[in-house]
Amino acid sequence: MKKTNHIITQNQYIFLLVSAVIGIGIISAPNSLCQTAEQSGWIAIMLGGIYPLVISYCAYLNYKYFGNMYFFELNKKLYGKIGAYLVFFFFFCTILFYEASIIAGFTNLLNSSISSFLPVYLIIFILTFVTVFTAYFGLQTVGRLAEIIFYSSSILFLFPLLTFSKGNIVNILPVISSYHKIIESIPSSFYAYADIELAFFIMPFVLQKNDFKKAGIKASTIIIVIYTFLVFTSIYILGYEVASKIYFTLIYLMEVAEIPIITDFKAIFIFLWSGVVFKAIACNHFVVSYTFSKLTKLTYKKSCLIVSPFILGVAIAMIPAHGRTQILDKIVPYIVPITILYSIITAIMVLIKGRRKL
Amino acid sequence: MKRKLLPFIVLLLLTLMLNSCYSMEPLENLSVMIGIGYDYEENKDKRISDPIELIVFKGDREIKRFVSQGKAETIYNTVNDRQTIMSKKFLVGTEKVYLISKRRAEYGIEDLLDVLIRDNNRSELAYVTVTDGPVDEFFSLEPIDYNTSSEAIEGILKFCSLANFFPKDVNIFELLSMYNQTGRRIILPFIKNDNGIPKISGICVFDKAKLKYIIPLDEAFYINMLRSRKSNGYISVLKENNNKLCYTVKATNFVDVNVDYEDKLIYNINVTLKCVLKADSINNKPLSAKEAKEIEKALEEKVKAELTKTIDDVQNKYKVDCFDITKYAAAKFGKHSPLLSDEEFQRAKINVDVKVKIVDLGRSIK
Repeated sequence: MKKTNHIITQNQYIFLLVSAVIGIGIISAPNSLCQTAEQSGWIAIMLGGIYPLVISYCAYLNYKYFGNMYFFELNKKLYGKIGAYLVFFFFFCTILFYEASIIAGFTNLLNSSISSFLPVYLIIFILTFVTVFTAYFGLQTVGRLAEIIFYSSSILFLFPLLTFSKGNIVNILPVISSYHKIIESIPSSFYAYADIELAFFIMPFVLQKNDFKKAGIKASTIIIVIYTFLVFTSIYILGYEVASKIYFTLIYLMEVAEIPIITDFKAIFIFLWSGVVFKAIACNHFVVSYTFSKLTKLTYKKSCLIVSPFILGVAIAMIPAHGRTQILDKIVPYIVPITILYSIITAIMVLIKGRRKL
Repeated sequence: MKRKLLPFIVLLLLTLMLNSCYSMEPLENLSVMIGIGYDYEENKDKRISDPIELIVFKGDREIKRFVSQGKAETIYNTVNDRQTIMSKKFLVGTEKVYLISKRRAEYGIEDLLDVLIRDNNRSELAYVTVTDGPVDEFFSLEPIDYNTSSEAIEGILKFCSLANFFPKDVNIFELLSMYNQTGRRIILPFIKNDNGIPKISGICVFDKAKLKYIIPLDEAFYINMLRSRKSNGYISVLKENNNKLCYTVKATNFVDVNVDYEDKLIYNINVTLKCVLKADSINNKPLSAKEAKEIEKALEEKVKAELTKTIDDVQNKYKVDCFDITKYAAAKFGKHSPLLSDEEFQRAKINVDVKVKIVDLGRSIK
């Protein structure tokens, strides 16, 4: 059998990061932020952007001092064999959890809006099937997909502007009413940026790495700008009071859009947005299969198929929307600090060991 | 090659099989909602009564309308009641208008406001209004220019912003914003049955979710001028109380509000009216710029006097913010500021400054 092709270009690296992060979380991000940060939610998400910047910079440091070393070998060198297995097991569980949560979230959205005639399990099965099928062909395919879909779907992010005239500037004033509330809501904004950990895994597969540092910063900036823009627009149009009451805030914005001929723009928006969500799940599935193949020493393609039942199971467990948020609220506050802590410790270790090598 | 094609074929088949509408009914078996009403009947067991106007398809090119009553204890229990007599399936999301009766509005619409947020299928672009008298009376009116009376009322609400300075698009989205956003209150148009024809006769001012005041259209004209943006209205200045001698302009309002605080709230409202001159039987000749200035001045004086009187009335008679200006205080002093109460509004000093700009003198210029 031919070996799976994982080589990607630097542009594809940027779009892979962007597409992994921007999926279903962005639809409900204004809701969770407005509940604590009120009308300053957009500042909180902007400040939360420090998370992707830190992670992508750590990935750059790994490259700078150890070159194109695979992430597993790097961990082996830094923490020993058992340490490397532990780290990979942690990332395997984390990303599997994230992937299942995206699938479950998107299923909830579809079920409550445009495909209520299909049973929930069937929707989950199809979502998983399509994304496993995409990720099966390796990172190169996912990378190409990410690049194509980003170019063709970036206009989707401008759609909320259709309702911009219904907004009022008083909704976002006063810009800052309480620093305490903004700082309090930054951790919840970190979840919105989850999945940026992908940078560690795909870094060695990038072909040419001129300006690799810039590529990471570019990807993070694109993500931060899109998030800030959408949260700002939601608050500007709805006011934080309504935004904090409606879970799928972005979909509600689309419902309000008045477009001639089309009676319900919501359905069209969800249909177009599903492309964005599909590639987010595919990116996640690549990482899950890759970590699994390193943990068990199976080939990538085999592990790609083996992990899919696990994902199905976890996704089904998260099916009612309130159950999903309950699980997320319990687990995410542990995952994000551990990831940040791990990245910073690794960066320091890389600096120390890398210098010694030079 | 065959092995590569197989997954594609499976995917194609899946999309074909899963995209059809299982357990969906054909059009003949659906009843399409066009207007939903909310009513309240006192001294009865089942107090909530929700009449619904439906379009019924009766075969070839024959469309009829039909009002279905549902009576129960809560909004959704009326569906239980209604489905016992309905021979068709409901289709939610096609409604064009929501009518709330005056009795229901006085009783409170907290439950409706929650339903509108929670229910995924409802249309956010349907118009809302309060009716004088029971809702089913309005649904059973014979419409002249539409098939259903809901569409007729929708038309009235849609185009009411062309005169009287009514704000544009008072729909469900706007209703939810007015109810939830800090410093705002629900203000809806009020519709009366005028000898078989629905007619806007004023505005309803709510306190939280309960109807508090109904303000007649004459007073509401100047309240509307302050609370709406870029709406239209016609203003006239009469001379010697002679109805044939007048200036008339079609005005578009631009309102700018500033807030300050010194012992009490100070609102400075700048109203700019961009006008098109429609009639000038006082001069009755082609006009020069100087004469246009005089007309502007006369209009400014009149509008300012009326607005000052209206503000005085609202502060002393109605005692609640009907101008939708507390939100500017909320924007300046914070969303949880104690200055947003009704008492502060009564104490507040509201200065109004009117500027009239005639942008078009019509065909008759010097």
